[in-house]
Amino acid sequence: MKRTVQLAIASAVVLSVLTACSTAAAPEGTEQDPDAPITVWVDATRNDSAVALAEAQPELNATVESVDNTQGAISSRIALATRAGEGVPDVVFLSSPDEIATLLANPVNYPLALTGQVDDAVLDGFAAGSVDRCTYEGVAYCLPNDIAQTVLYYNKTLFDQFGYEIPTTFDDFLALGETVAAENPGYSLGTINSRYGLDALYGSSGCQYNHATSATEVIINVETEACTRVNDVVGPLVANGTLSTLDPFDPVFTPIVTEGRLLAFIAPSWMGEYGIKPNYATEGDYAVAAMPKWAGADTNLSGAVGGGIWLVSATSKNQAAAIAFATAMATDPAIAGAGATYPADSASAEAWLGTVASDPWYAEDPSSVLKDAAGKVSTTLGYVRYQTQALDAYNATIGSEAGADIDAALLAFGEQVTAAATSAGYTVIAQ
Amino acid sequence: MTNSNSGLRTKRPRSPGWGFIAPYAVLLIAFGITPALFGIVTAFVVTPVFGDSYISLTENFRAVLTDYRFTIAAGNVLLYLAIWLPALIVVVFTISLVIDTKKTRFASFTRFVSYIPGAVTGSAAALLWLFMFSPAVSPVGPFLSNFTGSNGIIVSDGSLPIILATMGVAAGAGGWIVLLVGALTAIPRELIEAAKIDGANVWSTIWHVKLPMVRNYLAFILIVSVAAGFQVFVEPQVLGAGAQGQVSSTWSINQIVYAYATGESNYGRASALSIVLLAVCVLIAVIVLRKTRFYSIGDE
Repeated sequence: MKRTVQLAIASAVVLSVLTACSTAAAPEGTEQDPDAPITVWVDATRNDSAVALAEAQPELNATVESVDNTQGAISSRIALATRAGEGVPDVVFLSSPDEIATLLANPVNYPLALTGQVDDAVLDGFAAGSVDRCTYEGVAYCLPNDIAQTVLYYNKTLFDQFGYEIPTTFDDFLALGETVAAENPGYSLGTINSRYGLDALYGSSGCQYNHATSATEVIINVETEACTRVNDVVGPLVANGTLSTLDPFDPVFTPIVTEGRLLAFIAPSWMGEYGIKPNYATEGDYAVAAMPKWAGADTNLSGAVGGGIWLVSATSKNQAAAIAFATAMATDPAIAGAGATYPADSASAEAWLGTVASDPWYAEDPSSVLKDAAGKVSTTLGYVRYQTQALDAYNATIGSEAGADIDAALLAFGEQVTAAATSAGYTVIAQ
Repeated sequence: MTNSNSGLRTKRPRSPGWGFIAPYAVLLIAFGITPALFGIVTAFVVTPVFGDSYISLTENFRAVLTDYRFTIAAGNVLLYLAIWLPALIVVVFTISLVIDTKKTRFASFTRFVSYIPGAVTGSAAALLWLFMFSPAVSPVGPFLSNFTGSNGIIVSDGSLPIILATMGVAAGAGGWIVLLVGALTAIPRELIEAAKIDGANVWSTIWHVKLPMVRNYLAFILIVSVAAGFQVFVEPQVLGAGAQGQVSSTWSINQIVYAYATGESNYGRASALSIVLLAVCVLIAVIVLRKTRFYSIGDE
């Protein structure tokens, strides 16, 4: 009996401590201090340029930290810091931009509304549509860093050698895949793994699975022609092996790149600099062609795979310095124009394209194709809180079907993604 | 359990026992009981995407149990347990019997060798096995090529139960073999000899004498393994990160908890599902304990 009482008292003490912990709210840190130091979280790729900026502008008093940028890692770290009430970064770079949707909602409420805080000229300087993707109810919450517009990478030397034409429509692309499988088996047209299939192909076709119209509403409908026409291309080409279901960086796939068997690849604009070039150094082979047009589509829209964004904390004590840092990273041609990714800021993009245009690795100057595609990312691609689930659902259905029953897989994908959206607090509209 | 037992216990001085468990008790309270209590409180706090949080007794639980991923993950974990547990028990019992029966100088060596894979655990083991199951780099690559999917690799949602079961037996069996050999050695020799005199052959000695004598140890192995198996997390997480896009990030139930807590920042649902998981494991433990009378070992 005595022990029961002791246990009860102990439990009561523990519970009261817990309650105290859970109700300790984060301080309202909006009081501004122009001398307050700022903390900046970036991924490993942007660490050096961020450190250089912090050193070049000591008045910003910025500390740069390189953090794990795998999908969901940064938003969960910010959520924990917010809950702890300390250690919330003033500026953060998201290489998975969809995480903004999570950070914008409870319990984090991280990003600062930038419209009005940042010069309109800065916001207007970004590629068409790039700021729109992180604009909610007319207010922009991010500075786009880079555009991951998809284009068609192809090995010009091999195309000439085999006598193939560059596909301008996806009907051509399908025909090319069937020819390659018959004439040159072992050569690849890339992969449809995860976002390289979902966001690049289904996304470019306007298939609606994450078409967010607000922070709480999303259009999902996978039974439209915009989705089924992708199936008609992906299904046969996965089945005949010209499209792989592996990640492009998978150790089983990279030999295809290193051994020069990657004939073509519909991939984001960073794939050349970041994915193909490091594994295939031969100059003058790869070129970039415009995205093929889907059957029945008005124009050749691009998908997007990634495309980093900069956010500023709403609880930053020095918003002016934080905004200045993020703005410089996103729009200074000397910084944004020197990275591996296509800058969202138009002036920086010119600088970037200037470097790429004279790069002997490319068989032809890719700048006009990349520039054209930058403004043509499909507006049906949105940033949603269930992006991880959407990719999981895609891999478990369309990705794992290996082209066998891809139409049933698409319907199953639609069901899962609708459930995921509902669970994430969206009202799903099936238009 | 009985009155005479508890009467005996009160007469003994308590202090040495408490001294021994005190360090453990501190850790248990700090990292076991307190988080569990915190989780129970959090499980009833619903945080909508926008707007204020509120208390609800059922909402988080209903949300997690009706999550489409829950059924899939539960199926994955159950299939894994269905393959792993019988294999583990059979392997552990068989090797232990052989070591116990053939008391050659190789016995301790066999025991040592079977224990070695268990020295590499957790994420390191998962990484090691990721290489073992990658046909391109695996030492048994040519053998594995019979099992690859159409994309040229082995790791996928569907193959994971068998992969995890293989990992689980290889890494987990050794420790249990050491335990079970000890238990088998402790069986009085007279008992075995009596059985032999009564005409029992090797098989009936195993089946009617040795197995009943170590049944409680097997039950203990089962309880610990079920609890660990239900909460499988590190292995699918690491294998999934290694084979991008081949394994769902919510393959196991515990990974759904992780997804709620991190990617979705929904601590209420994460806690609710953790508690469901805890309740299931406690329930299984209670059933197995009752059925095997684990704590009645002294009465036999």
